[in-house]
Amino acid sequence: MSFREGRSPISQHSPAVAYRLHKPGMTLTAFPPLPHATLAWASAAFIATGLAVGLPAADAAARIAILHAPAAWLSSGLYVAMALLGACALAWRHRAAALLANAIAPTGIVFTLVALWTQALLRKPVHGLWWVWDAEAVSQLMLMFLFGGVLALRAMIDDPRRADRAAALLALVGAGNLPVLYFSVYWWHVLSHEAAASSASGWTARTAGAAALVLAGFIAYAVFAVSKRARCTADEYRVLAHSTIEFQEVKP
Amino acid sequence: MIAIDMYAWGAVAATLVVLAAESVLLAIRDRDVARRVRELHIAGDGR
Repeated sequence: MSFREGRSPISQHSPAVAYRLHKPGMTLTAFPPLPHATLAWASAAFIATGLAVGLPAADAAARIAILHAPAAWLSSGLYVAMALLGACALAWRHRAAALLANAIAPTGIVFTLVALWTQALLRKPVHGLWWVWDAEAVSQLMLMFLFGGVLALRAMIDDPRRADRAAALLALVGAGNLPVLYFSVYWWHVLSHEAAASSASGWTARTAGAAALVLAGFIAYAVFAVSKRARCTADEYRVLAHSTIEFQEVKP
Repeated sequence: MIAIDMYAWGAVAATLVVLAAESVLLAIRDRDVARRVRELHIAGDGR
């Protein structure tokens, strides 16, 4: 049993609950394998190429922005994916959709953290502040709390189906934060946006290309991490179901 | 310029470390699960 990568579903549910998940007709089969090694190497290659192209750029703020912008875009994208999968799980009681939505949340937290951290690093040298309570920063922080909230809510509820529905509902309600995050740079004066716009040699074709490469690398990494986590979770359910069935067979 | 360069390299290093840490945790979890799947002889696709 592994507790290293968050709480294992085996530790979350009683054997009886887990067995009900796997009764005939409701079996959660092994998650389809993806070329994880290829995805990991592609991700590393894209990120390395993006950094090699973007880091020699003249403006230092732009060097941070080529990491900040893709991380912020991807964290929003991952949230959209999680909310859509949650909607599928709610509408059709689709177990695999709920499993994938749950697998997205930790990677979403990682990219939201990267976006927040790089935002602070972007602001400190330009404005002398690590953190400003503006709409962009607050909605980005709320995005991280929403990813964490989905994980926490799922871990708190013992019945997996109720946990899936509650997490999906929270993901859907939280999607209201996304327009605020997206339009915050247009609706309000946001420091990092102004910094990027006013920097002397700021956002050039070269840095935009570098950001696109880094984004491609981040997307490959997210597909790698989410599919690997979903596959591990599905296999942990299979192991638990198998162990429970064997236990019931040998019971006098 | 030196200070802001330091921030830029800090952003690069922190991003790569966070992604590498998540990959390592996932690899450890995957290895544990694969071992248990093999032990129970329920290996499906790719295990």
